[in-house]
Amino acid sequence: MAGMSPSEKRLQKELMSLMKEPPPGVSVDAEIAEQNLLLWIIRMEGVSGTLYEGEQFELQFKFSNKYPFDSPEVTFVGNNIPVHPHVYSNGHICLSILTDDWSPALSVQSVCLSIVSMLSSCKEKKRPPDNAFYVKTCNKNPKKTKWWYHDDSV
Amino acid sequence: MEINCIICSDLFCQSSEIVVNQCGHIFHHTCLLQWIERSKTCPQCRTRATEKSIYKVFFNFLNTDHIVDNVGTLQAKLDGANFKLKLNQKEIKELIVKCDLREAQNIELRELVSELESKIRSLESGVNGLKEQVSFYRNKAKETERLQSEVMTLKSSLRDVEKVQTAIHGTRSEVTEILRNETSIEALALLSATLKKTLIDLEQKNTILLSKVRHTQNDTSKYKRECRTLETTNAELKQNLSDSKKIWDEEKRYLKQKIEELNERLNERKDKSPKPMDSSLQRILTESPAPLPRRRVKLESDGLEMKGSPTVEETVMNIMDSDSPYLQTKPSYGSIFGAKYTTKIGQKKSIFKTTPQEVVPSKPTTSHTVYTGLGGQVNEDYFKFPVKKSSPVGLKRHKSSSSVSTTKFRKLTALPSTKKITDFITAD
Repeated sequence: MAGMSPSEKRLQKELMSLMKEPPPGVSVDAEIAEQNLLLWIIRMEGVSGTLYEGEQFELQFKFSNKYPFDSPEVTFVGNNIPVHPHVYSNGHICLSILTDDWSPALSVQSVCLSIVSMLSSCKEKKRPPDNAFYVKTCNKNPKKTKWWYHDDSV
Repeated sequence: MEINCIICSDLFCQSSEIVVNQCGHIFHHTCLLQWIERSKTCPQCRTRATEKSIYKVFFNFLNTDHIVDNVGTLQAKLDGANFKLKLNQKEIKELIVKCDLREAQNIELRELVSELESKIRSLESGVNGLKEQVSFYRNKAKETERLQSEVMTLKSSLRDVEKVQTAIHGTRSEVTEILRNETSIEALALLSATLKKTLIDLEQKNTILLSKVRHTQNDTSKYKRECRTLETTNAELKQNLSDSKKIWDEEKRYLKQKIEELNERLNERKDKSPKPMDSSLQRILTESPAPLPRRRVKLESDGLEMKGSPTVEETVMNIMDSDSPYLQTKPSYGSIFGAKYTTKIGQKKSIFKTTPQEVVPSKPTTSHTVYTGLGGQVNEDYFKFPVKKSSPVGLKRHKSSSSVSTTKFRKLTALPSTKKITDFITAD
């Protein structure tokens, strides 16, 4: 383990634990993560009994070498982006723990659980009201967006 | 007891500095310091956390150095090693796959390389062939260029030659025009050289012709001279001819006169002499080649001789014919005399060889012998021919012979008898 930066150490541990004991409906693409520890792809299934049952989503995690002090950059990628009031059609997610409410105590697993719960708690599949405007004007990095977490209910 | 820092997820150990926030959550000192620089909250419960609100904590670790590797650390180590192993295996697999791929690629590339090499070889051979072709065509091009230049030079020389031809055969104005239009020195030199050559040739021809002309002039002068001489000779001959004609005319006249005279005489003598004698005498006169004056003399002398003695021949004949044994002689003996006297007889009748000279002495008969009555004898056999017929023939002959040619005339003059004629003429 010598020669690894603290961020790499922690990411490796997280990856091991995620591969060993993944949360239900969540799996990590180990090949991509092992090639580059700073870029993960996580597959997610719509939890049964929710609006997203039977759907498959892909999440992309981009880490900086200041992780866990810096939050990871998390977006939906791939063909199927969930239609959700906090998920823009370009895959950006409006979630406070990914920006302002991030804490080094959080992990990939906890973030995944938060997103699963966010999706599961959705009552109506619709895009955010400012989706079109945001998609036109936003930065590529969702962390650069100044979010208004207007709806805390979900 | 396994306690770890939630920030770095590392286990706490004796050497690590551990801090506790007022909320009771413990962290590595460095980890919490890094976080509270960003946010003055506890990572776990979000209660306020500052450098003043945290305290160092000191654990009393059991001296468990001999059991350094407790279960937790060993598990963590094992996990790490497993993870590493997995990673390495994956890497190895990947590398093997890559290697295979690369090898396959390598083989393909080698095949490609060999293919390309063969292609290169074929192309190189093609290139060489093309190069050869190029060099060949270059050579050809050079040759064609050379030929073209040759053609050009030949054309120019042909033009020059044409000009020269025109210069030789053309009129003077054409030649001057050519010379005026010609700019190249070589062509002019050629022209001048050819003109000079032709000039020299013409001069040579001229000299030859001049010499020929001189020759012909000489010849003409020579021929003229000859002509002149011939003319002079012709004139001389004409003169001679006229002279001789005159002479002959004179002679003719004289002869006529003589004939008349003789006729007169004959008429005078008709009483005394018999007719046969007369006719024979006339025949002698007409047929005698001797000139008339001479004949006359001879006749006169004959007449005188006939009085005294017969001719030697006659005497010989007489002797031969006689029965006297004393006079009998050998024919050879007689022939000697004959030879001596035949000249005399010849003098009488030898001028015309047609005269029957041999006949005369061959058969003389005493019965034919006629006595002239003047004391001489005449053999009648000599004059068998009719008198009147022969006389004009003789005259004609004389005339014809004199008029035919000068050469005959000359011949006649060359004879001794004619000499006598001339003598006689001069004497006359």
